[in-house]
Amino acid sequence: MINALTNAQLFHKISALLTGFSEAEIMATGMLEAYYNTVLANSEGDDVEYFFLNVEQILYEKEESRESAIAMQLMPNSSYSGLARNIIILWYTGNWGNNPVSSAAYIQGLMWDSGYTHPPGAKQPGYGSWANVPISAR
Amino acid sequence: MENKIFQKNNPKRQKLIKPLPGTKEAESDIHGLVEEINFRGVGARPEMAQADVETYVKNLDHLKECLLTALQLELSTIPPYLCGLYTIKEGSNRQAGNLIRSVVVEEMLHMVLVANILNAITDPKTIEAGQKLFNVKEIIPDYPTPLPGNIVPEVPKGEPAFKVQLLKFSREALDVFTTIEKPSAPNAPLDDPHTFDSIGQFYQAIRFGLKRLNDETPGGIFKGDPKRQVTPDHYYGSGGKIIKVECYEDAEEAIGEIVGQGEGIDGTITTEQVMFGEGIEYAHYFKFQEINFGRMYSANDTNFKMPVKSVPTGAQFDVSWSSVYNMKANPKMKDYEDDPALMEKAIDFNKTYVMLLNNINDAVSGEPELLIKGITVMYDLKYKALELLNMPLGNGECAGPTFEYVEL
Repeated sequence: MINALTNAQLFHKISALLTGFSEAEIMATGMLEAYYNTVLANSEGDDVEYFFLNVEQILYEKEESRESAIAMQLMPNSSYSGLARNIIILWYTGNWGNNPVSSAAYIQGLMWDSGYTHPPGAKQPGYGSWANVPISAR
Repeated sequence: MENKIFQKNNPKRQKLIKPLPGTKEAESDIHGLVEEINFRGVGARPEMAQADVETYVKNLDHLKECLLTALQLELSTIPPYLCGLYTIKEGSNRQAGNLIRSVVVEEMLHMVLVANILNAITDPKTIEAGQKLFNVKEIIPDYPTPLPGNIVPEVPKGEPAFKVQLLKFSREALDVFTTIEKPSAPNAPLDDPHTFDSIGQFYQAIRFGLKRLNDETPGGIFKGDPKRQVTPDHYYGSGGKIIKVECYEDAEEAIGEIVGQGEGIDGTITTEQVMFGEGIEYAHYFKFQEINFGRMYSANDTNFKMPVKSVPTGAQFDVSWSSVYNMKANPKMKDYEDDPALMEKAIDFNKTYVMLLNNINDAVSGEPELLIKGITVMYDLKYKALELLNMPLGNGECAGPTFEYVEL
């Protein structure tokens, strides 16, 4: 059962559901707090409040119906000014809209892991690594 | 970066690496200038110590056992240094981070050098098909751990026996680091013939064993398969020189490299012998002293006696003890049992660690060309550790890598 989660905790859970990464992976990026603050700073207060109320409702649903609930209620462009879409882009690219949130956000973008690659200029995988199957893909 | 000072033909080389007792260099070198200090007070007999060290290794099997212990010893120092390094937050403590990093890569080099010596004295006829040089599961220490090899560094009176610990970058961690690398007093006696007071003394025992057994055995003991040697072609960025070991002299050079990089020299160096100048890579012990004092050694810091009292007087650098991940000391997977997400990440890290050790084990067991592939895993190890450090434990501390064995 879910008991009165804070918006920050709801943000953690919905981030995992929206990105397909586990809650542990989301937390291990170290970006959770920064991104939550990014969402608060860049969204209309009403959108945020109602978004999280909606997220809470979705979390009460059975696991198998969550995906369609997210698709129907959060994903349309009209829902909360596209907040869910922006959150996905934020996690994958480290950008809010077209602007990088921070240098750490660029490095922690989930797109790098998804593509079995690394952020150029950071997290280098070692000379000659391109000759081998990426470790994460093994 | 190529480390010029450790090239064989570099004239400064012998000034930096303490000549091993009983070698030609030692007799002709600076030891006349060394003021002998007896750590254990009146009554200790320095000459006894040397005799104990010289006869420590019993036979070839015991020698191999000692070399496996040396391998474990080198490995046991890497996780504590990595914890110190990983817990430094991005953008802070650059100088300290660089110093620790340079020590880590040298410890890895030492592992390879020890493996080369062990392979050099292992007759290929005695190796079973598929047999590995060491057992990964058994070689991983359980932290906090005493130094393998019965090495018991001196600690201030009343303090508990020394243990190697996994700590965040802190004064306590640096205490551990300097104790690991602390040079022994010249000719320090063995209180107990079965314990050594420093890593250097342990390696001396190995070297004496190598020499004696090689002299006593008809045809010598260096019958290893040269194809099992790791050479400079197999690795890059190793922080020093990989020495191919095919005879006693090679082994002596390798041990000189290991001990020299760890402890450096002891004794007084006259001013015209430049000790700590630009481009000189100095011993781990002194690197950690630099971090302790937040100051580099300068070319004028030449007065080295044991015990080391000299304070570095070179360029200052900032050391921030607060720009650090507040990692739980000596974390264990068991600590994460209540948090499946955290456990998953801890296992992920340990799998990468075991993968890295398997890779090194394969490389030193006849497939040296595999070593370079391990570099990818080394990088990955860091990223996996950082993921753990990003996970709070709820008491103000964060999780950390546990460096434990897991099945792949």
